[in-house]
Formats: sequence, structure tokens, C-alpha cells
Amino acid sequence: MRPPSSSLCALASALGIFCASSGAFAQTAATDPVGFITINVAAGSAASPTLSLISPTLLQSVAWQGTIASVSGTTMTVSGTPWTAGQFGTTGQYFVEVVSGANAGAWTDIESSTTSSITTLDDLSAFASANSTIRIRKHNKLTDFLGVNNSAGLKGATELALADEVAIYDGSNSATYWYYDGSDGGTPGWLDSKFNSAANVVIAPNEGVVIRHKTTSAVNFTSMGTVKTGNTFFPIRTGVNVVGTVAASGLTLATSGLYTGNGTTGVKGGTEVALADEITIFSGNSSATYWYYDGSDGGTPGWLDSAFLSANATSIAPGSSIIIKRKAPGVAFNWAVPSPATF
Amino acid sequence: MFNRFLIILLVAAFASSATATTILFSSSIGGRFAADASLTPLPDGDVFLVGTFSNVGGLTLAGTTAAVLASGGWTQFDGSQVTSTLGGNSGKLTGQAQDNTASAMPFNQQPLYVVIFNNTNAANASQMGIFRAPTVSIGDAWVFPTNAGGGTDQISISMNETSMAAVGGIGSTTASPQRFVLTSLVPEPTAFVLIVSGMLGLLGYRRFRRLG
Repeated sequence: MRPPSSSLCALASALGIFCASSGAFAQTAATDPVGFITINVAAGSAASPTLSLISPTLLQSVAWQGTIASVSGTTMTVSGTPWTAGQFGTTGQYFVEVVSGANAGAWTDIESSTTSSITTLDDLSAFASANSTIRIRKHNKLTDFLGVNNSAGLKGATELALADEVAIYDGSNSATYWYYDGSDGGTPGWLDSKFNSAANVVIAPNEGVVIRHKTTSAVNFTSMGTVKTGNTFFPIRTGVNVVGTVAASGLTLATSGLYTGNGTTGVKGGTEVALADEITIFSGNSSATYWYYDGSDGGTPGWLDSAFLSANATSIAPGSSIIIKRKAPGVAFNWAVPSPATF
Repeated sequence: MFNRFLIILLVAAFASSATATTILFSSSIGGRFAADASLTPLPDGDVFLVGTFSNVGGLTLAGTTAAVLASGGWTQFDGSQVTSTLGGNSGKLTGQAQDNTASAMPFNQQPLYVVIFNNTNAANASQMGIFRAPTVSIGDAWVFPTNAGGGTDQISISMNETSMAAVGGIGSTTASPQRFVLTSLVPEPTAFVLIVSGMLGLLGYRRFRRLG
């Protein structure tokens, strides 16, 4: 598997925040840096598809930012009527993120909206309160990432088994998509495994994308968007988690925040890999697994590979996905993916 | 869909093992479709199952669908439903089968079979067919992937393989057009004997009354 050896390029605009007052409520529109990431999909073959673990990393621009008047259960209310009813689409097209306070980085999907309130998928009342600042963005879609007409250049075909497979993982659950090239008639486009259109399929910030590439030439494409600033909570559940990254500046295992020293808020360390949670990072056609040595057998605690070599500096590149194997009985936790508040 | 982030008090509900096996069923608009014994394409919603047999040589077309499967030592992995493709062509085997639990582990590297039924409920079907592609020219081999717990244990199997064949004489295939053709179930011998005996008895009784 090829590393999504991605590089963050062309931060076209510096971080800037401007205010646009409207009526009695304070509304700000935030302009984060925008740019693009070059994503590499490794060459493979039909007989032996190559896996590439990638993610958009860059997000859609902020659609609205401001403070909330109240939060109760799955309802957030703002002062005034700054929105039009249904402005934030149908279920799951937009998401809201808490960006102030101790729980900055908590986010969830917006199920519906009125002129002054949003109904969310999750109850954020434990993570936000009156006067908390929120940001609303549209989710990246599959077609934003790979192009409505497959501008990414993945292999299209007349059936899934002949095409490159694009699996989007939410934890360990995945759904797979492919590009129908139209040569059997009808309109070309992204489809799911049951021939339904995938035009509106979302890639949420935490979701990892696994490409099974079936041609002998590598594919490079650019992912464009807005740099995410501030922490972002990713749910890590017991079992396998294929997760993307929103850290456009890149992370190392040491700076990832995956190990917190508390096994209920981060990955579990141990004295050997079999006792610790595992992080798998793909590179080229191979992968390496890392774990956190807790130091209880002596020596210095830190990230190690399977040969006990230091892996503190091992990179989690922008545009990549990683696999986190959270071992039972370890409980689920929210990984606070770090990102600078400003660039 | 999972919740987008976790309310920590509820997290224990998400316990699962480190496994994630996925089988994708690949059909095409002009490719093979499933048909009943009269060669009518199956409607959307009819089910098909994916699994493996421990004694495929013992398959016997007798009794219920469950009895037929049991005769071959069937272990079911998962299933999906027949659908129509973009052009409205029905009878296509599409979708995916996925198991993210430890139950997926015994399937590692086992031969993979597809069983198709002419009903939305396999137990209520009157026809079935068992199929496998022993060699492949498209996609992956019909063998369950080894579940390494890496979250990437996925294969895609094509319904258009030219080597596609019915297994155990249960069903058949046609080449032009490419079809999976189901076979009608046969009552179990004991049930069949009872039915014939009853009919003979009824005929005898009617003859006795006519003569009397």
C-alpha cells in the first residue's frame, strides 16, 4: 500500500476572521486557510489490488459561525433568526462543531434546521452551553473528494469487481463505491454496491477511505478545501477503527494525542504489543504497527514499532488514514485530534 | 450510522472484536442475472446468502431449503437481496455481506458459495440454487479472505465469471444470456410416500364406493 504521501500546499490565504453583524445577534464568519493536498494512490493490478488508506483532510468552508443561546438535548438554539428553514440541508449533509470551551472539537451531524435552531444527531448538551461558539460546515462528499466525473482518475468499469473500490469506513463498518463508466449504457457516475447513486455520499471528518486500486499505474490527485483549525473529536470504538485525519499540518505519533496516559481517554499502553492498543500505518505496499510502551519494564516510555525501535517521530501524513485497533476490554473514547488554532 | 462522537457513558455498548470481513457482490447491467425455473428474472428483494459448506458432496435436493443446506454442512456468513441495475435489468446479485465480529473468523480461507432463493425469506422459498465460480478472470477468488483484523479484509466477487457453475446439481447456469437458474425443491421421501399413499387410498375408497 502506498502512503498517501501527501503534502499540504499552497495555503492560499492566511487565517482571517471577519465579523458581519446582523441584527441583535453576533455572527462571525471565519475564513480558515485554504489549499490542496496531493494524494497518491499506489499502482496495483487486477489480480492483486493495492490498498491505499487516504482521507480528504481538508474540509468545506465554514457556512456559519456564532454563539448559541441554549442547548437542550439534540436541539441548539441561536438568538434571532439568522438562518432560513432547512438551510443546513437534509439529514447529515452538514455538521456542527463546538469550537469554544473545554470540549472544543465535539461535533455531530445536523438532522434538520429552522430559522433559529438545529436538531443534531447526538446530544451535545454535555459539551456546549449558552454562549458556546459553534461552527457549521457542509460535509465533504465522495464527489467533492474524487470528482463528480471521477477527476481523481480512479479506474471506472461496468461492474464493481473490475473497477477501483472506494470503501468509506465509519469505525469498522464500511460501504463501498465505484465509478460506473457508462459503457453498458446509462449515465456514468459513482454508485454503491447495489447500483444506487453515490452522488450524495458523505465522507465525515473521522472517516477513513480505503482504495483498492487495480491498474498498474499510480494515480495522483489533489484534494482541495479548507484547513481545519482546533482540536477535533474522533470516536474510537473497541475493535477496528479506520480513521482519517483532519490535521493538515501533519502529526507524529508523539504529537497525535492518541496516548494520554489514561486508558479510558486514549490508547492503552503496555509492556508488549500484544497487551497494548495497536496503530497501523501503511506505507507503500506494506504496513507497520506501532504501540505505546508504558515504561513499566524500565527504560523510557514512548511509541515503538514491533522491533522496539522508537516510533515517536513516525508520521501520520495529511491525506492519510490509519487503523487503530482498540483491544477489549478497553472502552471507547474520543480522540482529540490536535490541530493548531491558527496557522 | 454510528453516532458521530461518543457520549462517554454509553461507550460500553460498542464492544466488538477486531475483525472486519466484507464480501462485495459485483454485477453488471448486461451481465448474469438470477431467474426462477421458468427463466423469469427474480424480483427485487428475493434473498441470496453467502457462506460455506463443510460437506459439499453430501448436498441433497430433498425437503426444505434448510434441509438442503444442512445436507451439505452449511454455515452462513451473511446475505443480501436481489436488485435491479441502472437499466432496470432485474435479478442482479448486488450489495455486500459484512461481519465485524469474531463470528467471521471461522470463514478464513474457506470456499465461498452463493445460495439464491425465489423468495424474500429463504425458509419460504420453493426454488433455490447453489453456485460458485471455481476459477476467476474478474475480481477476487471465491474464497473468504483471511481476517487479519486490519479493517481491510475485503474482496469483490463477480457474478459474471464464465466458470460459474451450479453446485450439487441444485440449480443450473445458462451462457446466453448469462443466468443463474433455480431448481424447484423436492419433497422429502417420507413426505412424498405419505402423499402418494394418501392419494392411492383416496382413489381406492372412491372406487370402492362406486362399485358398492
